[in-house]
Amino acid sequence: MNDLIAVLVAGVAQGVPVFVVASGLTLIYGVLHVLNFAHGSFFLIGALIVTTTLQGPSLGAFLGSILLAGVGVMAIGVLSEVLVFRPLYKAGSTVSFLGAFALFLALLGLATLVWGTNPRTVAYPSALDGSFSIGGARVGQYDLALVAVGVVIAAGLWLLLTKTSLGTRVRAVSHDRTMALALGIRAGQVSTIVFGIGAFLAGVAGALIAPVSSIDEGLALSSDYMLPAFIAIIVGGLGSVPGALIAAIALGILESLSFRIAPSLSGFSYYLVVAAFLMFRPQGLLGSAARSTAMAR
Amino acid sequence: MARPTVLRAVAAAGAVALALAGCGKSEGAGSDSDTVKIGVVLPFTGVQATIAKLEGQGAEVAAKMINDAGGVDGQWEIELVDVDDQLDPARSATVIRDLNDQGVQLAIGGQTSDLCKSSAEASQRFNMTFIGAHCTSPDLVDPPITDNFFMIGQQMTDLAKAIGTGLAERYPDIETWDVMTYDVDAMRLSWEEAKKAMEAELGRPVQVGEQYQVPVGGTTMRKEISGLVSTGDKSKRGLFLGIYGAGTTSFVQQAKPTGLLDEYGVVAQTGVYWPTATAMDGAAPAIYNVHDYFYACQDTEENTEFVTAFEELTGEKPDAGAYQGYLAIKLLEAAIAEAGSTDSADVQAALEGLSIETPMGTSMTISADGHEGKGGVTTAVLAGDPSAPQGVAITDCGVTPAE
Amino acid sequence: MNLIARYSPTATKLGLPLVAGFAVVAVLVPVFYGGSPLFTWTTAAAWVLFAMATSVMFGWTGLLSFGQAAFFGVGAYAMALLNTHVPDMPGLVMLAVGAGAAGLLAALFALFALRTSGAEFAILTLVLAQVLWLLTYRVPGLKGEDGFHGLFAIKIWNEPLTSDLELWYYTIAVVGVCCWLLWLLYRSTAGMAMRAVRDDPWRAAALGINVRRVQVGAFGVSAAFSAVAGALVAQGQGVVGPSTLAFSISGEVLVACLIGGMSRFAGPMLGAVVLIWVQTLLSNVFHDSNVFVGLLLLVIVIALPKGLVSLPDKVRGVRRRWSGSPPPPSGPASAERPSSDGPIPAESVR
Repeated sequence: MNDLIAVLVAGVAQGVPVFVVASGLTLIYGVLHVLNFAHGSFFLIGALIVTTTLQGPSLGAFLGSILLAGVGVMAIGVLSEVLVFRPLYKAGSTVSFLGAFALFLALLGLATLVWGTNPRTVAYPSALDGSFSIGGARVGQYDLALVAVGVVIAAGLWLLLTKTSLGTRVRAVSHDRTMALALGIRAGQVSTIVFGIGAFLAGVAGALIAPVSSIDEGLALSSDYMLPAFIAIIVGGLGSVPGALIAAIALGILESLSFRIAPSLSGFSYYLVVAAFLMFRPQGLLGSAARSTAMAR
Repeated sequence: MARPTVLRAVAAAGAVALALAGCGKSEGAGSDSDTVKIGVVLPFTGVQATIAKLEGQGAEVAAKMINDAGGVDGQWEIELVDVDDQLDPARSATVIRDLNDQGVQLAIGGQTSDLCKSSAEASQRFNMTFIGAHCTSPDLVDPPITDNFFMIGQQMTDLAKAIGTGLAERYPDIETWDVMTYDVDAMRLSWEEAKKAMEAELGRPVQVGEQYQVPVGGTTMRKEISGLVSTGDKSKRGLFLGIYGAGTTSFVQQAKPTGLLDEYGVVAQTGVYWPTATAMDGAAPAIYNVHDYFYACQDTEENTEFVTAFEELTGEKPDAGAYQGYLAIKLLEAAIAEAGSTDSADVQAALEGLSIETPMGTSMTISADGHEGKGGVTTAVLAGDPSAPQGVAITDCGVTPAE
Repeated sequence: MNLIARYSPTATKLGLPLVAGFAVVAVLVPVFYGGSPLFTWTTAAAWVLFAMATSVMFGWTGLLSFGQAAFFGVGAYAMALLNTHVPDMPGLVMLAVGAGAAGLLAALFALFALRTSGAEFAILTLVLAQVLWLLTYRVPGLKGEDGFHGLFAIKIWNEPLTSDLELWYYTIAVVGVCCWLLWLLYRSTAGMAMRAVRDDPWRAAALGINVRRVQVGAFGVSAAFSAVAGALVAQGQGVVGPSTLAFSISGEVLVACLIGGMSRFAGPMLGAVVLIWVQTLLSNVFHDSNVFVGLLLLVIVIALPKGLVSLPDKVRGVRRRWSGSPPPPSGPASAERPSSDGPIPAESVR
């Protein structure tokens, strides 16, 4: 029983940062129909900003750094949308994807120019530097805080998308860009805002994992965060935020379970799931069948 | 549509070829009679740049000390030629050729086993002598992968044996070991060897508790940590880490809130710990570590000279990598002096069976057939201490000479 | 040069100009280069094949792969394993075996991965390369990060290669033959079917083309030739390790294709040569060349989406516009026009 709780907690704690990364990716995809490969660079830059801006061990300073990371990366995201993606929308999703890849390489290079290649570390905020017991399993305070942040972000996104006028416009553009334009929605502006939010989330995700990871250029395509995030949005259904949430958490728990039950599969379980999933449900958990099957023959 | 295209591409390739012709054919410039060029092949850029820099500086200090004393055998001044392999075996094949174009016939370097392999393979083409200063895989020597290749990094089997014996002597009360290694043969073997050595010293079997293998490059160890936490009382348990680099950093960071590392009777590590420990600004947890060299453990005149000269140059203490770089140059010096020539073939012949005194107070002998240099290993406890140099105190030293 | 095309369409169809071009390059390069630059040309030659192979899938068929390193690596590992277990096998046979293994793997993978398309498919290929990379550590016979060595000793037929010059002739010959085969494929009905699928899968299907089969086939062919390229690079370096499966390899080959442009058969060749040389020259000057490669690609994607091969047309278009004449006809017709004003030295064509 203790073991089971420990496994669940470890899995959820692993799934939440993946969800935060994936939420931005899937949001951007939903509206712009671009799989933003540059998200990995955004994520890395978020973590790097924390290594520079964090002053002292107080929780306030840490939250301030997270916000700075989010806003800084959002600025980069908005710039990228205007300078890189906007000219490419008409050229189709493959060209946009390649633009994202070029942006990924360029930002990764710029980040190493600015911060160097030396791996960096960040200390925990002192208020979250301990652990406590839940049903006999020991849980780090920071891991629990991560889960809380995940819940806040999920709830915030849900409110934003369903209860605000911006959300309505976002959903309209996502559903049918041409029709939205005809209805007088400024789709370009909506795209920029969504891209900004997505980049903000990537920056925040990078900032959040800064204390638990070695921070170097490997993070930009890390098999612990970025690849699972890509897989989570495919499994969850491209464009679906709730799908990304479910998939990220479920994959985290699955990986944690497989580590205990079948250690030889650990590290692979993600990939096996995605393979099995695509066999039976290529559109993902909550994706719309029509769009995916249209091209998949 | 494509008819002229092929022609055009070919023509364009030709044009590029001609345009680049200015970069020109190189001439195998022979070295001056009174200098000897030694190539230093290291990943000066990339994630290991900091480590590589110290390694290169170790070689630099050795060259400076030799030159200040009148050069090799009083005849040849050493000129180091740094080239950057970018931690990429493909790139190292190119830079070895760059060295050959510059007339360099002796080289040292090789950060990891695949880089040592590709450098050795490429340098063999030109019968260049290559000393793998930092790679440690037993797979590379005895027999050597190529005739021109020598390796002086101490092998994992010797490191593991020394840490196993040291642990059994110092912490005989530990009953059970939890083990976490990278999913790599060398690190898995390091535990097997250490366990054997412990059992031989203690005269009883050693219990193994949890045993985990982490994918290389993995930086998330929550699952492993939660597994380690759930094993209960740890006063009679030890934790054996066969990880290094970003893995160690991430593990230490993620385990910190659980207090795990303080609870264990002892934490031991066969991977390199010094760079991680110094990066943590005095907060590094105490870990019993093994490596070729820890600067504070060696009480010889030569070591004092080396450490002083190194601090003058860099403002830092030398790490094991710097020591290996230093030693590689000293070996070449001895080999050139013995051969009375800087010719690659003569130097290779002299290196076989060569033996020199090291700053560790032990001697390093290069086996004539196997081409591996055995020079002894050092064990010590590395612990964060804000008042110690670079924030890391080195205590409880033990030097194990080569067998 | 269009004289050849006009008076001897059969020669072009058979790819004779291509073969002649490779022969000229094979002879000329060692005249001007030796030592390290010659080796860089050898590497570039192998990458020319790799980029061409990638273009079969990406440029011809419109399937984007982010995991070409998987097949590059399979070729390299197949050669290393064969060299370990069957050391007497001729190197050329090893190349063929590696190509077959990679082609088969790719076709199997494509059968289920092609249930998705576009970016999802690209991510799946990325995952495939990642899985293979993990396997090199998990499967004991693949020797983890130590990898394999001694590939210089492979006998090409009877004798191993003993110098960088021989390595150059061998590499360029294999690359030339493979590119010639790809040319024949390009001109065949299968090649045309691939381009039809790329341009409009619906219409292609309506014309009776089995879209799925064409895509799987293109994926397999692409993988097979990528494997040959991987094995050639491995032979050049003498070693094989997990880094042959790294993402940077998959990324770089896409960069090569994009720099050169895939609207013409030879675009990826040009791109590969430019990429390898830019990287080599830049890394001698600047330590981190990543940022330049990224920015260069960004500029190309935005300003020159058809790659460097489209530069002459683009320049001509601008010139025409300035002189007030109507723009040149676009599309295939423009390539048929005599183009004596191109910035191409004539001597290499005669």
